Amino acid sequence: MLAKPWRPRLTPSGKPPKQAEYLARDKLAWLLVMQAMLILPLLFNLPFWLWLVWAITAFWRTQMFRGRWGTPGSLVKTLLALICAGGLFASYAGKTGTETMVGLLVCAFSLKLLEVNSGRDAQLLLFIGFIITATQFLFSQTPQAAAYALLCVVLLLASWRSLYLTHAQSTGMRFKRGGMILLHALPIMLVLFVVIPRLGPLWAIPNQQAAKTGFSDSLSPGDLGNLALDRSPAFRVGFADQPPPVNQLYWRGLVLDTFDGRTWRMRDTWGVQSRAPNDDKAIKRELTDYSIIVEPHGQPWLFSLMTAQRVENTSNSIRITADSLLMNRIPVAQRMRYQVSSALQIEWPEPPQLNKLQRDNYTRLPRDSNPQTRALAESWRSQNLGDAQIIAQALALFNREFTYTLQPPLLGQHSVDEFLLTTKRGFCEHFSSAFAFLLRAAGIPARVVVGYQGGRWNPVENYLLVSQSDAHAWTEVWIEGTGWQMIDPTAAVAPNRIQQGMNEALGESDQQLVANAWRSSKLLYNLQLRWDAATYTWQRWVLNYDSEAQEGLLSRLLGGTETWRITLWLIGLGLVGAGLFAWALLRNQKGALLRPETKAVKKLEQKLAQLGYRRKTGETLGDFIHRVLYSEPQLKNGLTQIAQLFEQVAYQNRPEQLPQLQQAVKQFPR
Amino acid sequence: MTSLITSLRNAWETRFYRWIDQRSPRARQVHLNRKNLYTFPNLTGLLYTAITFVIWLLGTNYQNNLILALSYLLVSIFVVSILHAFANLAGISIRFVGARPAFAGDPAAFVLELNCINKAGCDNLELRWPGGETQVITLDHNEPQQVIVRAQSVQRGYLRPGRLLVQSRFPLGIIRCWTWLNLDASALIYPAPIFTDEPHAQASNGREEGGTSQRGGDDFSGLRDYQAGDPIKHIAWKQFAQDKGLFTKEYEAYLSAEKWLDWDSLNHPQELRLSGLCYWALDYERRQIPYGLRLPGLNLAPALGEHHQQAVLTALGEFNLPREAKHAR
Repeated sequence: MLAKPWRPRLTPSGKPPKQAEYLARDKLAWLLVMQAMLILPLLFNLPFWLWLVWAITAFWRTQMFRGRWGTPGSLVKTLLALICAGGLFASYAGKTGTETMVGLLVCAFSLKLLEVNSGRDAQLLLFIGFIITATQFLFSQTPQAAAYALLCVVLLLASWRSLYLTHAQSTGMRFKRGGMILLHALPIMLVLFVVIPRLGPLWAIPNQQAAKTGFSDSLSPGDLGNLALDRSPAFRVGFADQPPPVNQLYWRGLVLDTFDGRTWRMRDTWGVQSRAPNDDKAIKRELTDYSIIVEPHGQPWLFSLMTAQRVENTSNSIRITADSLLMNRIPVAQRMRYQVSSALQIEWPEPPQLNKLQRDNYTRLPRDSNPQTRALAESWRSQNLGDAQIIAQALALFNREFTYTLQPPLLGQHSVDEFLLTTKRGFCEHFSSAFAFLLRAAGIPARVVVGYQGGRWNPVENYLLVSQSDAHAWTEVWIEGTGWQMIDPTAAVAPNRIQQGMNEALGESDQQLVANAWRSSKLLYNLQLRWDAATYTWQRWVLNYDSEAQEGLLSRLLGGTETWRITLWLIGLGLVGAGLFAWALLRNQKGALLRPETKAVKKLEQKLAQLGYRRKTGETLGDFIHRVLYSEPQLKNGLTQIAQLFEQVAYQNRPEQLPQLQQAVKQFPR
Repeated sequence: MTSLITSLRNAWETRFYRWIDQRSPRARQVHLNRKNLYTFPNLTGLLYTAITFVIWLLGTNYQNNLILALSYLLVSIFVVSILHAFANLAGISIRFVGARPAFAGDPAAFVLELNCINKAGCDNLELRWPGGETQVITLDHNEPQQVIVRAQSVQRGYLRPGRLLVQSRFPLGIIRCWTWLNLDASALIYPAPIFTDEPHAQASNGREEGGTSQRGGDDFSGLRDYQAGDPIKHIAWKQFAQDKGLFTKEYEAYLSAEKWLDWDSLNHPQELRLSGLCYWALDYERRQIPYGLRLPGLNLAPALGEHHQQAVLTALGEFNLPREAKHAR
């Protein structure tokens, strides 16, 4: 029992009145900073007035903390929520999509702040914060966005931990401890990311709207010329083996087969047609496998080399149309990866045929349009030239008299006539359009293909980067007995365009137009290559790490993907982790029980034990040293000094003597 | 039905506590380590799991690997926080130092000394006896700290507060790490002071009390603050009605003389008699009248002062306890 005096407590016993819960100043500050940081990147994709909502609630909450303003009643809160919902409805014109959903979430996240009075509320706010962080990735998935989100998580963890902290700690320390939790969690996350199987979407989600980039589903003079200055990537291709030569790199996107005198379009039935049934009999040559990561371009079509045979992606949403084009079920709103196998050469056991309807379609031209071109073609026909000769004639004409330029003169109603006979200057869409028109007028089935040509090889990661500026238009011509044959009239005018890319093919004034700073400097060019390679790696291994990539990586890492193998590895990793944890825990506690001066004395005891003196239990250090000195008087100097120092450190509160003590023990017995 | 569930639950608890007792036998000092610490997610942890699942759904439905990675990160944080919660408590040693006596019905203060050999110290540590109030403390590395944890007392004698709950939800509040310690702790509980008739020394004891011992209550001498146990008829209702507070009217009827708290002079059941003696012991002490105690088999000569009062109250608290209660000492 305590000897302490006690006072009789005669007051009626009762627990002290429980304090009303409130959020301390530092905790509130953490929450405010956390919210601002989390919402910030979302505001670039959401209506900007959401920022105002947050600012108002944050200000209100601060005033509440200072006791100036009261807590909003339920009527005010309902009103605020309604205003926000109405604002979102107005901003999105009543459409419900991903953005609306995230907008609502941000509103709720902001308004919840007004209700945060206890640690429990703050906890809930933090949990919503994690979802907000997740929604950041709906808009941007760059490495920078990931790094920012990681920073958000550190902030979330630090403020989360602060909620349960019961003593004052500096901001830096809170960050450090929060970061420690993240640091410990990251390895486990990596393992989970690599190992956990991926599932397809569980239910349909509202379509994300992606800005439409690249070419559209129609082609008029001047369309692709605008893209020529756009350096942004369209897609990146990794080949399983050697890439095909550059003059075969025609990435087909769309086939345009209807002409109205100025613009090429698709037939309405496009995409509904299934694949030609006689296809299976064809002999495929030069099969090439490659995988493409395409940037979201907001269109359903995808790109492949002639002729796509097989296509795969995670959700199996791509099919091959009758024109051997790739078509996604929905417009591509997110970066996606797919694998294609193309046969660069196809031979048919029996000559393929076009039926009457198809032949009519592919030779149809609008009446009364471009009469002079029509007359030219008919004159060639009347000279009794064959199909091949007419094609050669047309290409020779282009080669002789035409110029490839980014700045062609504007064309009017009869665009082909003006181009062929008057201006004679044009970009790829002019050549392909005029060429297809000429052939159709001569009765040869022809169509325009839009897509990309070539690309820039990246030797750092061995892939091909195809940019928007590589957009190209060419023609496909029906050759009796062979089928559709790719012919690029631009190649007849400017062979450099195909072999070396657009820049080499342009005249001086055009080159100045497309000139970029990075082109001029070798160093910058290399940096550009490396940066794009890093982006490609990120896309390949993080953003598009799907079940297929998973299987490949696991079998490479573990030597197989059997369940028992993965289980064994996981158990092994778990054991290693547990071992590390136990080691860290022991290291943190080991020796902590002993004070440093006691440790020094222990060391001294070890040294004396070698001389044959053992300290008995309960023997003071002084007695022990006396006993030793009785038979070893030559140790007197060292031992008495140690005894004195120990006395000073342990009992006279002079910790500054500690280093001397340790030094003396270290040097003993010399 | 309800009774069935209750009895099942009781049976389960009994078994569980027996198991706990086997794991941590009664001791004056206990070190917390993996043998006696338990961890389990609490309700907040469940909510956290739900949030993780929501994020996973978001990632799966949008086929967004980064969102999926975030959900895996949340899972990892959950796992890591189990280890952190455990590491927060592991390395603490708890020693029972002593207990301060209390009156029956009041909470008794148990003094514990805690030390933490974790480099990071220990945060948000909650200590609680069953039914008592929670004490929250922070421990620094290797700095022993004395803490008072109160347990509610019911009756006089020796109070065994039961198992000490030591728990913490630090650092993230989603994992609760806890233990029940069977500390070898007990506190002496005095009888609750209850007003009874004033005990009189029996004439047979051969000592007449000094002074004039008129029955108190005739000469009003003043007001003092109300204290528990004061007779209701002495409360100054007039002042109370005027919102001045609760006062007791004092009647100075005694002239200073020795008083005897005589067991035989009160005619009540045992516990009420002890409570009455306790009341008067406190009353005499306050009024500085020397008093003695006469219990069957015990005699304490009249005196004053804290030590005397403590001896008297201890005698009252320990008087005629049932065998097992005595054993608990």
